[in-house]
Amino acid sequence: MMERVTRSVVVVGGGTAGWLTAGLIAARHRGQVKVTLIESPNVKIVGVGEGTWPTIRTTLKRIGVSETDFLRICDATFKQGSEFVGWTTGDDRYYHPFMLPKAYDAINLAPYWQADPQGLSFADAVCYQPAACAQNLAPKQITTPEYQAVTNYAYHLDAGKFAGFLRDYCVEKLDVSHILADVTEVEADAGGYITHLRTAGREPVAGDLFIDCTGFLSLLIGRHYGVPFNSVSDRLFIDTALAVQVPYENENAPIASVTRSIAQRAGWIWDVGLTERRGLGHVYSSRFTTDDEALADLKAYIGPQGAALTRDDVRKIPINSGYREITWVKNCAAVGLSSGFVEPLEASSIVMAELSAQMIADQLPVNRAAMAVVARRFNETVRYRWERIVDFLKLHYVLSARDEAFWVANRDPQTIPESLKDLLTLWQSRFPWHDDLDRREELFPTASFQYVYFGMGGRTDSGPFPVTPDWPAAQGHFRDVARARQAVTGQLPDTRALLEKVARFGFQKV
Amino acid sequence: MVNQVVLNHETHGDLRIATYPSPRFGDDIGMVGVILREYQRLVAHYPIFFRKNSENGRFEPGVLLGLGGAENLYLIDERWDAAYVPLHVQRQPFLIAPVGEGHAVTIDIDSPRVSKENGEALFAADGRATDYLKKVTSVLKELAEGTSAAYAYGAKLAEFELIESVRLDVQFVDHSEVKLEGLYTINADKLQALAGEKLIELRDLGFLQLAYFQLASLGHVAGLVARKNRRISGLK
Repeated sequence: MMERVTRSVVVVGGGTAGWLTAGLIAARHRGQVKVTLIESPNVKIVGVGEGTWPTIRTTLKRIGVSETDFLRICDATFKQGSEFVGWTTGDDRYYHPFMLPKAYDAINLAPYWQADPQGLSFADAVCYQPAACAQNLAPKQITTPEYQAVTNYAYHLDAGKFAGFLRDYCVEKLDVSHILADVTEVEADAGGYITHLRTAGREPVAGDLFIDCTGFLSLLIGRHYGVPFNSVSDRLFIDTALAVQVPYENENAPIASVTRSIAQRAGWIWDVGLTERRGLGHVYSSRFTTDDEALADLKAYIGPQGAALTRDDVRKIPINSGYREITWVKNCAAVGLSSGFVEPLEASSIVMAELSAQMIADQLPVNRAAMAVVARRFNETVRYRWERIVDFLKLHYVLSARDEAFWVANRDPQTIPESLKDLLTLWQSRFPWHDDLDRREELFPTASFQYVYFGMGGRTDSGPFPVTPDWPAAQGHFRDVARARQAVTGQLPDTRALLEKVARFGFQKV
Repeated sequence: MVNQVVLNHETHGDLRIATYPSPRFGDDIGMVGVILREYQRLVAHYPIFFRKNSENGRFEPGVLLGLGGAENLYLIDERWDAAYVPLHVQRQPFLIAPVGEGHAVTIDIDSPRVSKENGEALFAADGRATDYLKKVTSVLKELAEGTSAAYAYGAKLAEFELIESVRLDVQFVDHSEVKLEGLYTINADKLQALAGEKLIELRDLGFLQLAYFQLASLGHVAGLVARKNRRISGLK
């Protein structure tokens, strides 16, 4: 059986992760690999992820959908990064833009900025994108081709509509077979490889590779293979979300092109603007606040639009932050929530699903021998990514100076991963730079660490060692950023105005 | 600034229009929009490209007149150096604009072409339109009717994925260089490879012949470079 060739991939689960995976594999291996997706008619998709990373543009392009169709059907808007409000002291805000600091491959501008900030925040000094975000500008023009950018961007989207959009495309254009049925039983051979899935009232579905996209249920990896769940609740305390949708104040209200994240006494509120509504949520630790208090805080943030909200209007979602120790066993890989989930602070959910799905599509093992190798690498990479995400999210908490019990507890050294402690120790005396992280392709580059670290008041004291050897070059870059800020913000349209044009005219493919 | 007002013989009875081209009249333009009915005449003189309308991103055909900014290499002093002048140049300084239920001819009253002393009269003593105004009106009508067809042509070629972005990198006799972006053309290989229903649809719409005209017109880019080199060398 070692030479068994992979001809058929079965995806279980019809949420965002399931259709992304089916789409990426089907588009990449058309005509060679048969892709089937089994979706339970009785399970509602969780659809927590309304925020994405710029990788989503490559992902959608690879699947082959049109950006115009995607934006129109999924009520999607543009996301140029995140804005953090009140995270450091309660009376502060900073941006984490998607664009890298200027000349990031050539020079570390952080020491120069720290020595002479010229009244600018770190992000504003090294990047013109925060200025575009502050003015609710779009990241491109109507003349910019599909998926191309003036400023780097991702999307906010309606996750329910997104799954449906991908489903229609996968079924109609990529020949993915769609089966609506509940999986009742998993059948495996003597070696532990899944041979087929029994479904209620239908023929069993056979396959060579099975992808578990069953969400928190984790039907194959968790239930069938019994892979343990590695909770990170000792590091990330958020355990509950209250989600709600509210209309805009009026039809001309500005649409933000960032995810706003507003710190609260025991958590934070997300504020995401879609075309037709805003999606908001309060995520918090039930150890430090109550549901009623959390709802009251959410209503207070929303203001008049939220005054009438009751417990019945909000969706309560439990959050159990953590990940499966192993996410590829035998001929079964987990993608999406079945693999893991952490609080949505940096929108890691969809991007993790994309990266895992892409890795499977790229390295689709041709036979069982190759599968064992790919599985090992996949497990290593996915686990590494989850650890990095935990570090990066925790960074947002440990740099805070807020004095509520939740925030104080977050700074307890016992709750900080060693790898993050190491970075923080290094950054005391050395400016964050490329070689601080292990991999060439990090989920969050050191640029992200720089934006958060300096955005939250982190500073580096390099002592007697000179770290600013080339002032003329640095000043040249700072001037370029200032010039680009003028030029680009003068040229980019308002986000709502551009989305209205997209609805009417669409982007060109070229 | 452009100041378009509705034309009428009571207010504008004594106006005259300078009809020759001149940089003073704003004819130093690098590109001008065209309509499909002009293609047969344009193809003998100008390179036809697409550009994107800045308001809606749609492809609109236009002829390239210069190689960078507001440079019109067909304009030599106050002479247009080609046997055919695009309609959008001919119509200056008039437009058609929606007024009430219908449309009306408007005039850019602040255009330096407009005076009471020089050029063609618009109205006769009895208030009737002169032959010149009649001709301008028919040009405006032709443009108004041709605009949606020009967009439809661009949209169909885009739908069939026949349009591609091009960048012109040109070096001149004095070794100066220019890079022109924002231009689009037809991919000849894809057009040649078009088959079946799409090919028939393009032919039936009359777009196939126009696409080949447009491809053939690109030879005039070399003519533009030659014009520029003559200008650099001080020759007319």
